[in-house]
Amino acid sequence: MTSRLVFVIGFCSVLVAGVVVDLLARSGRTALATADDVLGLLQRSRLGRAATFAVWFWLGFHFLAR
Amino acid sequence: MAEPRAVLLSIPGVRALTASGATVAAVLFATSLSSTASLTRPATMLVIGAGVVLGATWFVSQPATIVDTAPVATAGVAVWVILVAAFCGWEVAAFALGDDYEHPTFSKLADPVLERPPVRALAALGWVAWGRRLGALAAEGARVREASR
Repeated sequence: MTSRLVFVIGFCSVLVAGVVVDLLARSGRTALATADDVLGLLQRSRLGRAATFAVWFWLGFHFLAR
Repeated sequence: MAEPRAVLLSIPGVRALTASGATVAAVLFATSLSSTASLTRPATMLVIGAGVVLGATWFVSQPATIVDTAPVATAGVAVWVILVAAFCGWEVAAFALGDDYEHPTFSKLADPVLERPPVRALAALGWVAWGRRLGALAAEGARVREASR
């Protein structure tokens, strides 16, 4: 197994885990939180809202404009 | 007294018109962006423009009604913190090891895929849709704050 494959598997695993956690949380049968729950919680403060906006904007800038 | 935004949105057709206008704007943005290449001025201007417009709606979004949201379990949040930390850790490891073909960061893996116009358009749509969703969540947070005052 090449190092590259290890890194690809690592990134994919985390992303898939995120999708699984969100789906499990939406099923309502676990104490897990959905991504919406966490992002909504973060944005209850002005600082959290600004930080969330900054991360969202940076991701768009980094992947689409840069 | 009802807020101006709520009154405006209660007029028949206004909500549908606003939603359709936003969808048309998002599709126009995505198709325009798909015809530009990364690291060019048009792409940069388009992304900054979309960010400014969505950011403005994000920060001026005012509570329309009071919505009670259920508390979020700490353990539930902790799982997301672990996932984000794992992603960041993996990214830092790739970067520290050289950010080359054998040790690619997520950006290095995504860039060749995002160069294809259809993928670029879909990614742009996804980014805008996510921004709108985050803005809606921010508005919900504002409603909760108003309710707790």
